[in-house]
Amino acid sequence: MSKMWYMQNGKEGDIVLSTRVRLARNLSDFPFPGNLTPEKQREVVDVVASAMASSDVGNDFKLIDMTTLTELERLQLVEKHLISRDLATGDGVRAVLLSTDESVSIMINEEDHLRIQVLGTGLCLDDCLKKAMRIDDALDRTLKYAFDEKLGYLTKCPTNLGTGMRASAMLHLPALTQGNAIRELSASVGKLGFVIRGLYGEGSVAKGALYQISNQLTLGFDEETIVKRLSDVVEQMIEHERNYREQARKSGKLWLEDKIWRSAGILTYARSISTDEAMQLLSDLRLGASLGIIDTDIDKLNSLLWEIQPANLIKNSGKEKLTPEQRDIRRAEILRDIMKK
Amino acid sequence: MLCQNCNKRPATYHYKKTVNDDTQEIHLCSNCASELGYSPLFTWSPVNFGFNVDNFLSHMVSNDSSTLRQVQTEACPLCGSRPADISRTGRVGCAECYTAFSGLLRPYITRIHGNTTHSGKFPAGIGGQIKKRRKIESLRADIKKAIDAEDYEQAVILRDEIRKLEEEMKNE
Repeated sequence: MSKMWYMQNGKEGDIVLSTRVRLARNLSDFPFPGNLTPEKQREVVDVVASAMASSDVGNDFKLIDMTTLTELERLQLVEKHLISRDLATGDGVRAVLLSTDESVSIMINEEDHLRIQVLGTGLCLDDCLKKAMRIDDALDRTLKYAFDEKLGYLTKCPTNLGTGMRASAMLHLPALTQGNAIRELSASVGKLGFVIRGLYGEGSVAKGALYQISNQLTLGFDEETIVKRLSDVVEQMIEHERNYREQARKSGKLWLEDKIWRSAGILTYARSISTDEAMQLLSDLRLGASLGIIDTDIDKLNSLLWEIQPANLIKNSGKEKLTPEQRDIRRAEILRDIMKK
Repeated sequence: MLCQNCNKRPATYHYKKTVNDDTQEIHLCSNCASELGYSPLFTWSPVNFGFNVDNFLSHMVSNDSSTLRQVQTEACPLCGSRPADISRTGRVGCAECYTAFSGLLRPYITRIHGNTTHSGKFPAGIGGQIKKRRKIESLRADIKKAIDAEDYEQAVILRDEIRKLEEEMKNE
């Protein structure tokens, strides 16, 4: 099996884990999913699926009906960032069109009729945008989109009007986090129309120092401009993070090495470990790998990020169910195995 | 205390609203509160102080309660959504809602995005028409400039160009 995007390492991969471009689209002939009967929701799924099947990219996609999956299987897709939590846990007839390489997922009947998502490893906003546009064009040939000349693509939530596009990058920022610089950074990118939030965890604590940055405004700027500006901002953030890392190495080399090797020690020998702790230790390891302190493959670390999450952990163990205690034991086993290699 | 909207039922919801430094207290019964788009979801009580995007959005929509009062009896002809539904959730029911409730939604959209017009991608089917219409608008502005500059030859060329585009649009 060739490696999926979420098992690889890409451009600026020491800081940028992955990139995503998402387009919200609606069909003009149906009210939005929340206002449809299950029969009508089914009709939307059918209309979108057949538009995809008849398009020139249709062969690459398979339709997955959410109602045919177990809760565990749905959460597995969430942990890999292939679908949203809302699609996994929502009501009604919902589905996803997933490409064979899992880099494109089209959610049907989430908040909007369609959410076209293109994902990639490392920093690749331009490529993701081009791919998203190609898929959108292919569907546009058959589907009738809800569109207004002034407001652009019409969406359930007015914050998505216009391009309907949300472009984002997932960043690992341990040095900026440690240096308490995130809040300040967040305020300055906010002025430029971008938002930074922790990828895992609630509120201000970002587990594993992982953040997502995305555009806030969707109306008034074209897609290329938004993506270009986001790329610029991300590149500046990369530079800031590298500077902070360099400073940390200069001023506290021993302290930094000690921290990273201790984390490696726990990952190598622990017999039981929670998701939160594992994420924190893997964050240290990732930092160590990028500074050349420890020899670890970044692509392996990217895979571990979803492999140690509860649903994937249970599914890959071959069991139906694991208690939290059993999961912690299993997680420690997986990590020990990897660390030995 | 009686509800200040219906003056019948006791007021059980109490809100403070600050608009341009002018703080106003609002006391409503539960019926009127939900009717007017105020809901327990976004009371500003200390217990429920957590920031939540949905509450934030719904507050932005219902902030303009004068507009809300004007249109509150209408329902969207396509999906049946009412203004109170939109202000409660911060979301519309269908594409048609943007036309049906443009008065309610326009100030809200401006508050989120600024006073702008879509400038990105168009669906293929209508993109050609829109592009031509925008081209005609900009040519008209150019004609005005040409006339102001007394460049009448240029104005005639531009006028012919507009006529050609209009003819094309009619035939499409």
